[in-house]
Amino acid sequence: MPEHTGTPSSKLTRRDLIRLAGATGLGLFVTRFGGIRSMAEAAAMSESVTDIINIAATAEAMAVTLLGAAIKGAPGYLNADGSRGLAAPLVTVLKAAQSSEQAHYAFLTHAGAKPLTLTFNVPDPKIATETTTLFKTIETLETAFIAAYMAAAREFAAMKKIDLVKIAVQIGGVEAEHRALARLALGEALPHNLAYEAPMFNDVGDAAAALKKLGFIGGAGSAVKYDDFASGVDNTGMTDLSPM
Amino acid sequence: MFERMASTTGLFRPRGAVAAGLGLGTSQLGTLQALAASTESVAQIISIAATAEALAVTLTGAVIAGAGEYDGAKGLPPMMVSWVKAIQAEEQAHYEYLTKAGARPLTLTFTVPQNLASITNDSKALLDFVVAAEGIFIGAYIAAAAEFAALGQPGLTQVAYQVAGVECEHRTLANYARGATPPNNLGFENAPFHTVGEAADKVKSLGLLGTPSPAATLHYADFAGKVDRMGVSRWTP
Repeated sequence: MPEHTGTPSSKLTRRDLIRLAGATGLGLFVTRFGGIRSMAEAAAMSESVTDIINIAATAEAMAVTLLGAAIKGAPGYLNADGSRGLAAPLVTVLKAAQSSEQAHYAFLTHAGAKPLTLTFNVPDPKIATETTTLFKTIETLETAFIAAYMAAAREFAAMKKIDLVKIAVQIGGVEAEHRALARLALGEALPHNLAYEAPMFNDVGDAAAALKKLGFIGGAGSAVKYDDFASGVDNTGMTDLSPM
Repeated sequence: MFERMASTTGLFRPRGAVAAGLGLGTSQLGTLQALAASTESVAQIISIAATAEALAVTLTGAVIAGAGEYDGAKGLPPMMVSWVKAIQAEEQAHYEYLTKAGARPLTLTFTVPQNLASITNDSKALLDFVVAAEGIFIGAYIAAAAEFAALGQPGLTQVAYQVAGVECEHRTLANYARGATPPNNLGFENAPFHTVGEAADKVKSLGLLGTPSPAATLHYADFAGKVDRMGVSRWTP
């Protein structure tokens, strides 16, 4: 599949004007809605459906790829107690997560989405070797994905694209499940610790920028390719692999 | 007594999403379907949602209060009790937001029908019920998000999304607790309802909003004051 390395649209400059970079945790962008809301909404409206689904497809491909790499390397992970190998239930969860991300990718590309790239980077080598780092990274990325689809749902709603609103929620809900399960894997006492999912982005382009800043897209870490993992997706135990 | 607020027997009953692709940029069919199907106002939507949240606060409260009685007095495991407490706290947060926004729950008295009596003392039955119930709530909030969009309220679409995500977390954790493999078994969350009223109908059909000779009658007021918020953050959207 040809790779697309360009930015989603020529409207980055407008988004840059309204983006407030507040790096927290692993460096995610957190935007404030308050006084710039009307401007943010105007900027958000500048994303087309095509822009949104292209970015979404890119993120889903990234998830399929990173999860695939984790699954492949499962026997070698270093656990917090010093033992080796991801526990079988965790591998099952990762496989199911990869299956759902692939289902999202398949749906989006079938609808015409063109991912911006299918080559990704692992910014921290420990993501591929340490269980705690892996699941902290998954929690962070899923939090970003939840917020990205939240922005997409809002943008689609503003466009009165009702069917797309539903799909964004259907996908975002699955990402929320992944977030909770990542926290469970980390041993968090309350995996479901939020009363409301957290908004982070004014638009989906902000989410893409966040992934770039984290080093997963166009970064310096070792490269991993979607094509090396997509065919190995395991759908065992999965249902509803399409939104219809 | 609960009465359904919206009629779904219109002249035009959509039967699900557009079959031929997404209609990206070419069709307003989804909008027309939603408008045709939805006779619900924002007030009606949030009042139904508040009723559902009150139901959840009440049922989880009853579970917490009776935790020691489950499985032949073996009791629910402490981890499960803490999870149910957090679920209750989050549903209460949703209820508070909705009612502050003007929602008026249609009832605050709920019933456990005889055929669901086992959810009061059997952990497997309880978890099966939670998975099913959260599925209904998720479907309801997906419908709400779409309806808010059709009503020109993208901000409310976002709130519906924020709540739906949390209900999804509840679903998968209940699935995990009952031993489902994998617990995250859905590629896409189910969206079986066109309107929130349809979800309410489903809840009503289960006998939770009033039923003859119930196994239990529960009042929201008996549990709302005992919500434990420990460990839960983001109390508003």
